[in-house]
Amino acid sequence: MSAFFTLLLSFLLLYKYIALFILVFASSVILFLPSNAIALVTGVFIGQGYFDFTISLAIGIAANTAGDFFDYFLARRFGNRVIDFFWRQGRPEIFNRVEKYINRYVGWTIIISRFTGSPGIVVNILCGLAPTRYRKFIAFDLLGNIINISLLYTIGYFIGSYWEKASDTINTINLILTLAFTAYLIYLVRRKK
Amino acid sequence: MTTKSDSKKYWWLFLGALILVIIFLFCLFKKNNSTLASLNQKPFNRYKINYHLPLHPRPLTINDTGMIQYWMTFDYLNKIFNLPTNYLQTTLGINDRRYPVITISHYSRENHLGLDILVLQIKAAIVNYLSTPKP
Repeated sequence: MSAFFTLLLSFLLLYKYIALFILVFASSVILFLPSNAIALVTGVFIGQGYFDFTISLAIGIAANTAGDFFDYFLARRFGNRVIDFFWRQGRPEIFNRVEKYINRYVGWTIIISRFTGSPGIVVNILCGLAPTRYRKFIAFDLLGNIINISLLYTIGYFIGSYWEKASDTINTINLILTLAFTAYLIYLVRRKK
Repeated sequence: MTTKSDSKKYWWLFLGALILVIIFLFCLFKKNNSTLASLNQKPFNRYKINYHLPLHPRPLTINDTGMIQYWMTFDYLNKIFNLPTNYLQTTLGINDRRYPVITISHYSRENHLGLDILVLQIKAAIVNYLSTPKP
């Protein structure tokens, strides 16, 4: 377990629900924060009776959705200006393809990306750039977060004090999912039709 | 060949089933946790939980003291090992006013104590408490 992750855990134990909100929100806004590991450990704390189930679930879903919406909103509001600033000669073709892809498979893309950690943030930004409709984004994001957080809390709840051993396996699964999802996204975007 | 409306129908069916499974799981969770909360009013009743609530993770025992680490707080240890709030404070002579909401590492750093030694002392204190028969 890394020193950084132990710092996050101490923060979580010291400030409980406030820390949970901040960590989950931050992990859905900032890349490379271990969002899945945090949810897993929260499940362990619920199983040990240290965290309340209902409050943790509500905070987990609310913070995750708020963080995702924050990414989406920023991309929607300022994303195109940033792109136009860097590509003054005209947008590369790849942006149009991404936009087309996102508008076509928005539901699945959002839901699956909730399980992959960091690529989820990229999807939020792409949805903001596309742009996906507010209501559609929030509906699928909420659904994906409910499924993802419930699943991770459930796993954490049942593995209990063995979570450190299990977290390596979960990280590996997460990495495979992330790579597979990224590869699939690249394939769909680059494909001719 | 599946049409677009067919695939849309399967998609919603799949989501519906998934949501039902989640609702079921959490009803189970909620019931389990409420029972736990009510049972926790009595000391050491966690040892009886496995029989009544087979779905709940097994209770922590002396063998689990190996999991104690420097990033944990005293409050957390009190809760998971079902210790009286002041037990560790009294046994280890902790005077910090932030107890029990302080991490082991923070306490050792501020009081210039060896971290490994402090963790060992905490483990010994918990083993001692758990191995003492309760009335």
